[in-house]
Amino acid sequence: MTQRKADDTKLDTDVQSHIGRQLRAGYVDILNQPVPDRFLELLAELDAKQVDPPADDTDARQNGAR
Amino acid sequence: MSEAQPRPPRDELLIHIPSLRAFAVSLSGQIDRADDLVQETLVKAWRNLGSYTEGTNMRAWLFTILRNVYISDIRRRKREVQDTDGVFAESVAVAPAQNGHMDLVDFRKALDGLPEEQREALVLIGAAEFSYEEAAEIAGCAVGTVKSRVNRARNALARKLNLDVSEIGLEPALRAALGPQDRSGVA
Repeated sequence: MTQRKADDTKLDTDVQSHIGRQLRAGYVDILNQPVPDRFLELLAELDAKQVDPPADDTDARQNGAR
Repeated sequence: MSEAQPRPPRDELLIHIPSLRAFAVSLSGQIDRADDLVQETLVKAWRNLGSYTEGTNMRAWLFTILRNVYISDIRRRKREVQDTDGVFAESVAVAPAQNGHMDLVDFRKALDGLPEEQREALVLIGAAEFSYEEAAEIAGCAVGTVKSRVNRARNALARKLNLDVSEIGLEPALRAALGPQDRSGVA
């Protein structure tokens, strides 16, 4: 509360914690939801198929501009 | 026979799905799109399990994959649709919940309005609670860059939401106790 810098690069701690609470609230909301069935099915499918790693090169591409 | 049986990858991934979804929603602002991102992330992770170093932070590893999936998704969308900027903002993931969280909706809009890299940094630090070092690794940038992005994001949000210390200095419960001020839409 004492460090009130006039320049706007330093936010008041109250503002910071307000933003933090809001941010966290939205996040935790999703975090607490049960895992949708589609993902359970997906994992079961991957597990069953034992999808072999086909040297997927999309990873290499995804950071490069095209 | 060693007892140190690692958890099967399927269970390991399962554990992290809730936080992947939370991260994906925070980034994209849309639950449907978020789940598609998570789906792609899981498939990629499964295929690349070999490149995951056992004993390291799996959540951070998965977040990195999701983050890259998200970025290529943005690029794809930008190529495909160039003139629908406004469309995404309309379908905000956080529905105006039963408990009348207008605050949260405004916040979500403000968050969606941030530049991608600032939103990402803020979410990694402020919501997913990674360290600055971990966040830097996930975002593929320097620790100092994460810090300044988080700062800029906070400042921008404070501006957008017109946050005034005098307004929010009180906890909501305390504010409510002091009397209704802005309960316009509450029946």
